Amino acid sequence: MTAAVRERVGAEVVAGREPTAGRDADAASGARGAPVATIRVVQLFPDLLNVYGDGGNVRALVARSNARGIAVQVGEVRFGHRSIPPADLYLIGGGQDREQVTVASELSRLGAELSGRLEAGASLLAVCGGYQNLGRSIRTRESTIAGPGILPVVTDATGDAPRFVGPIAVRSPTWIAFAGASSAARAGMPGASRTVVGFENHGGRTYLDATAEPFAWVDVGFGNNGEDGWEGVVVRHSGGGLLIGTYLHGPMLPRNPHVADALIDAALRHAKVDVALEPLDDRLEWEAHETYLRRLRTQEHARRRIPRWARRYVDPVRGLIGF
Amino acid sequence: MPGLIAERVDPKVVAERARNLDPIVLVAGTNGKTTTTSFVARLLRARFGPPVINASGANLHQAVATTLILKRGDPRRRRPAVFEVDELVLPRLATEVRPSVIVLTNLFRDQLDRYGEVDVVVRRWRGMAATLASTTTLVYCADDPRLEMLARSVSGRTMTFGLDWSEHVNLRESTTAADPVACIVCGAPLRFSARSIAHLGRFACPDGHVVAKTPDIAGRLDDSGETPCIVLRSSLGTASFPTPVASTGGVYDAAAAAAVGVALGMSLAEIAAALDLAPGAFGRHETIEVHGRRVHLTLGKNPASLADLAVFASRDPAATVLLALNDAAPDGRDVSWIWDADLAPLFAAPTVVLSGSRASDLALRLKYGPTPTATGRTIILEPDLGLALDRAIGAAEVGDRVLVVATYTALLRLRARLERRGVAARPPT
Repeated sequence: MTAAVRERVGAEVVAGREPTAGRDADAASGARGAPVATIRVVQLFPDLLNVYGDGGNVRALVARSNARGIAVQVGEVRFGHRSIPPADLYLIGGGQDREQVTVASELSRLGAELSGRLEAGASLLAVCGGYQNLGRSIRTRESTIAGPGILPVVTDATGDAPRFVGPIAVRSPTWIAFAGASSAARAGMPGASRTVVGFENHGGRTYLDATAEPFAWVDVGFGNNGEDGWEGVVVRHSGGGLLIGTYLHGPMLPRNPHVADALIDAALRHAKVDVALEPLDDRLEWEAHETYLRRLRTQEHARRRIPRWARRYVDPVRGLIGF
Repeated sequence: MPGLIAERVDPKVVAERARNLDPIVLVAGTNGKTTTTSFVARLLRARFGPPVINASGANLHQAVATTLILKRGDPRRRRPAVFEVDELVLPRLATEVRPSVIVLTNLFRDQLDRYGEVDVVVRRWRGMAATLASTTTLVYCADDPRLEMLARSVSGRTMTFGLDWSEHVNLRESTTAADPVACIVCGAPLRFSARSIAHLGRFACPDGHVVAKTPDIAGRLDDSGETPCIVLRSSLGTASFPTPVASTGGVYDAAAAAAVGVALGMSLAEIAAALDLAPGAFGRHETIEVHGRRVHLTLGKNPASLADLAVFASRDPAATVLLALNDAAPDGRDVSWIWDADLAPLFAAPTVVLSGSRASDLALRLKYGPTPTATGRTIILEPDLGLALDRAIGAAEVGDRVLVVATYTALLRLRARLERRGVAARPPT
């Protein structure tokens, strides 16, 4: 029955209809008795930024919450909406340059309100274009687009250098890796939670403020700018919120269940419910995660011209085996 | 290869070789290129004699050059030609060969890992559209807002095709997250009153800057009879013909080809006669019989083509479904698009086989839904394409259909396997 809930919520998100607050929570309570908690998730501008399967992130959050008896209300802020509704977790996806300009002008109206809600403890996952849009500024060849500065980064999109395109593996932050360790071990892949994998496709180079904390460092791929070895940014507000900006799409959360659970955890804290997330059967998730890593290894072995006999000893993603 | 060498020796080789070709039709766009090209080839054959065509998939500049060199024929005789052209190659080829007609089928998100973003293609095409020769007719899809906005910068002759929206169009409401398209003037997201595939439909800017036109050639599918028919309508009348490509995509392809025919002076009746029972391109909606099971091959390469296939699948809910997802360069290395595609009608099949190098991503996609909650379904995860095909055929009863939805390289490999078994004909060269 939980699946039925998931289906309805998922379908609603995909169809892009206006959110119906409360309905999904009711459905969940009918399915499994009273839900142990309800979290509110709001997608920002899915009508403008939605080109890399980012809807999959919502599906992952809903499915993983529902599986633990947690109901999820999914809402949207679209072009022209007048305010940012309260939520425990906000999601913003990637888009094209032209749509990003429109989002920037929308954020000049709504950015302060969003910023206030995040400082008060709500969490955020900003991917690719949304990551750039929520930073301090995006410099393009024509002009500099100011952002709300929710994430302490600036993006330079003036160069002629080729786009950063390809699969990427980054070392996951210790606390996320640790939280995911038991899930990966149960799936028969101990150590898998040490990485976060995705696909990057961006022309802009993003630089962190001197005091900002990167989300992760790059094992294989480009990351923020291809120079400093960092990927994404993390902001932790005193209100307890967890803000992640990243270039990893693909979508990120389904095949990185440890990151998904970290966000659900943060959303629960904001919703003021004390629920420990019980482990789920994540074998498929980690298998998809490993498929990415296998691809990356093959690609890197070839690029670095590592002889065939040595390939089993050299893991370009995690360094030398056994070290 | 001969194309590569010839171009090194003489960069103008394409322009020179194209001189005894008339008329020349170039076909570009994301989906439907190959089928549209094969339909146009039939029209050219009926009207002007055997055309020069490039082989399917060989749509880069060098490959077109190779075709022109190897199939030159008698230089004194004029021959018609139709070339399927890669999106980014089109502008250069258009200036070199000065085509009579350029067809833009549609512009969907596809292979973002190669193009960066769809707008890159739009910008290149806009530059080309502004400098088109006055002898060139631009045929484009009136249901595609990106193309409509692009056509604003064309000074020459244009002609549009699309679905027949005046008739009752039997469409399944597309739930696919369409690529967001913003108005070129004010930046507001376009609004749709009706949709066919992804962002194709009846669109309008909230402030009226951009509004969908009524297509010059409108097509619809009539599957009330025994054999499905495509009905074409223009201001001059209507004509219909039976078709094996009974999908919305097939209707668009036929309407596009018909618009080319009309632009070259053919009548609708003449066009319908030439397209009578015209098969789709090789491997696209091709049915091959294996041990009494009808294996139906289709190409599913982006959310738009899957949206079309979902409608097709819902007509035969008993069919076994084989989904094959590869991530080699021709497929697109980024498979995130499966999360934007409406896969529910395919996942609803009694037996679903998931295969390809990224089968595990399909499995995850199925797990996270939305998935129909039918009971007693079988889901088989088999990354090896050959074994997956065997299992799909084994799961189907004699007389049943096995619907294969595969990305480009997966489709080629599956078809090659059927060929080796001697059940599929070798592709024409």
